[in-house]
Amino acid sequence: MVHLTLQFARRAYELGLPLLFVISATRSWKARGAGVTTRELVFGFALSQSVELLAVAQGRYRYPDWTLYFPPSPEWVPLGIGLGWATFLPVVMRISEAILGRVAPWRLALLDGATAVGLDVILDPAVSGEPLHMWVWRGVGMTPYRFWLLDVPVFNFVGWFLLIGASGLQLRAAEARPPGAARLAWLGGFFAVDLAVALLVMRLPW
Amino acid sequence: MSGARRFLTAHFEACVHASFWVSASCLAALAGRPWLGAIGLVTVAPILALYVARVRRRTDGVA
Repeated sequence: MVHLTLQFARRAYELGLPLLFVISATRSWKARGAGVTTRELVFGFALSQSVELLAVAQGRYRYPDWTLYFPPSPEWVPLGIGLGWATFLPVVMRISEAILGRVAPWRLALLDGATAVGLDVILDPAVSGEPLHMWVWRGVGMTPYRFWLLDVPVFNFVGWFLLIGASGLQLRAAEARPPGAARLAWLGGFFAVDLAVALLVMRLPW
Repeated sequence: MSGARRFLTAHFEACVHASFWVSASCLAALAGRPWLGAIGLVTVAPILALYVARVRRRTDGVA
């Protein structure tokens, strides 16, 4: 019975992430327009899914037993994870903007990162490892982490802070540019830099 | 428009953020660590309260 309940919770969470993505995207589309909504969601999804793929490839963690992965093969990162990040990023950005108003972008980015970590100190210890196993930190061939907080590697919280903070900073910087190809070029450049930084951070002795 | 719907429209981001908190807290309770959700009283609730207060001030024309 307990096993069934946990399985149901996992599937409900997996279903809830795309659902929340659609609701948030629709809301943003209506409130802020198609262009900025597309840029934020596509950048958020592409960057987070790519960073997650890099991390899984390096044995930092694993996502066992999800229904739908993206890309479908190899089964490394669930589709819902990227959609969850893409939903969460604009939400955090709007919260920071509402709280701080018109301040320096780096201050907004700091609050973006802090807000994200504030949620993740609940989420990650709850769902990773026993008994939900949505993602796992320990296993054969995986990173033997040295620094832990609430049974989650400190690396994870630093990653959340950096990924959300940097994405918020970069999306706002891109929006400040004139529309067109130049804006997309900036986002492409940020994307490449972010992947390089992520790779570097993953290689630190966590 | 009902009060709940008006609140959801005006504070959409806070509602989504709160939904993440609630779902994480429920999963934590299922995982046998119900106290994890309470951490949000320190790490999530103040952010939500600030957000709602700022949006309310702005819509009231005070800010």
